[in-house]
Amino acid sequence: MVIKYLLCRKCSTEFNADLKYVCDECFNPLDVIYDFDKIKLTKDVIKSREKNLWRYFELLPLKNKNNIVDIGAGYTPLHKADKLAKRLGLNNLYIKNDTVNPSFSFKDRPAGVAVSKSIELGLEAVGSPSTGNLASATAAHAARAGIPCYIFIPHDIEQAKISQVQTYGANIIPVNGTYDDANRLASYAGDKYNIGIVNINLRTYYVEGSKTLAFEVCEQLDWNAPDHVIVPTGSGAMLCAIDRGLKEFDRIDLISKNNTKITSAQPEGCSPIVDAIKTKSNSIQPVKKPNTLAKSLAIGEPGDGIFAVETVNNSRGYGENASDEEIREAIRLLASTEGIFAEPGGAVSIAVLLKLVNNGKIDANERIVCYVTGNGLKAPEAPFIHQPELKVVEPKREVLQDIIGR
Amino acid sequence: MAEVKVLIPAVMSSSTNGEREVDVNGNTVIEVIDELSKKYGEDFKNKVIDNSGNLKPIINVYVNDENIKFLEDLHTKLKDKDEILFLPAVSGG
Ligand SMILES: Cc1ncc(COP(=O)(O)O)c(C=O)c1O
Ligand SMILES: [Zn+2]
Repeated sequence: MVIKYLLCRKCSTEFNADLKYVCDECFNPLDVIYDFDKIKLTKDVIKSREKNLWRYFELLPLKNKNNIVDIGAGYTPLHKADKLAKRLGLNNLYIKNDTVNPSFSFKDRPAGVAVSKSIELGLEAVGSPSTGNLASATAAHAARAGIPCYIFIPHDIEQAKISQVQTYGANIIPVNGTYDDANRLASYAGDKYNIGIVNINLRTYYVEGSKTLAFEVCEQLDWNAPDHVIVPTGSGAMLCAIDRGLKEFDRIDLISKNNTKITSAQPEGCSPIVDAIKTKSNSIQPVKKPNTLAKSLAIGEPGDGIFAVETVNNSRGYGENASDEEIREAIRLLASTEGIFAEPGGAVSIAVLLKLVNNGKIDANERIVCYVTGNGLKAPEAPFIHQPELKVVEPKREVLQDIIGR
Repeated sequence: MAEVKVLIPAVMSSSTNGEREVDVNGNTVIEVIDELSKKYGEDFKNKVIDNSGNLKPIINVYVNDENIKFLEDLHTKLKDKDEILFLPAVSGG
């Protein structure tokens, strides 16, 4: 890594790359700025490296490779979704299948980078407030690093996610409230007890991990940027990171042009970012009580909301939301056409793709990448309101004639 | 005047001479912010309130753990022993 400094996104004050997450002057977020002139990263060098997100080390915010905490996150498949594409009348559809990360969501990318950075900064414990996926990603990396981990979750998230976190051995603090309540408590804890809260006081570094979602897609498209990406959006951090990733690859000439449209996909029961895009507003109206099947996207006060709105608008992308029923359908369609099983938060990009196609907003030849960011086993009850009933049979050959009948 | 407690996070404490817990008087959130500015200088107010007198979007203020955006914003009324928490609006996932 070749960090120059941390730069305030609003007032351009520069800071050293320490444990710092907002600007002293104006409290806006800080971005890691690299010394691009010194970065000698070529396609061949990248191709020769290990198949995980650390293959882009120079563009990640770590000084020393010895501090890497790696459980194999990243370098997930870019799947050409020809069956689904055919259904929709498209010719160039890809799925970035991030359901197959070690803890089964894209969150292994930002959490892996943040936990590594916490080791580099000498912090003795980490944690996060989470809608579930980040909880597991942080807990898994903390387990590997051998440091204590404190996880703040809304008490009513999916049971599968809670068991997963418990299994990694983290301390779980189930909060009787929303994600935003858990977030507030974690924020206070980080401040008071000097814990590295990956998505709060380590956020500057944390978001860098999600740039690899853009780097990998470009590499997997033979060093070309896609025409259009559709991104499940909660706080907006990943969406902004994908944008920065594309810009950085363009900056160091690993791709030749970057005109990618970036579309934000949110569930109807919590879509403050999409609402702002649709109403052409430049402020975010927070959602007090999110109510959606996509629990991982139930972030009513999105920290990067305004920046996500700007990013989508600047890229000429769209904001679109999908109902619970549309998300269920998308989960089933993706699984039954492409063999990929996603959770609601991960499949909202597919639901939104369907809507954009129906609204005539997609050109059949556009090279589209839908990010599918979380695994279906994390919310196994989600695909059906009424799961089709199964009939138990006797283990006798005769029964087969009725069932298979060929 | 209500006597309330204000909690300041480390990142904002350079504007309050390093103080993190302050008791002040005020009947509304904006009165408390004015009171803090009297105590620590206009710098504090300029950092949290924009030119048109609104709370900057980058700051969240909570009264007894409830975001004032869901109450009466800067005009949220206060009573004795209320706790006012300032936090940079940083969250996600
Ligand atoms: C599966 C999944 N997809 C997408 C997101 C959205 O990420 P962000 O909060 O960075 O917008 C989350 C978490 O918030 C998630 O768990
Ligand atoms: Zn600033």
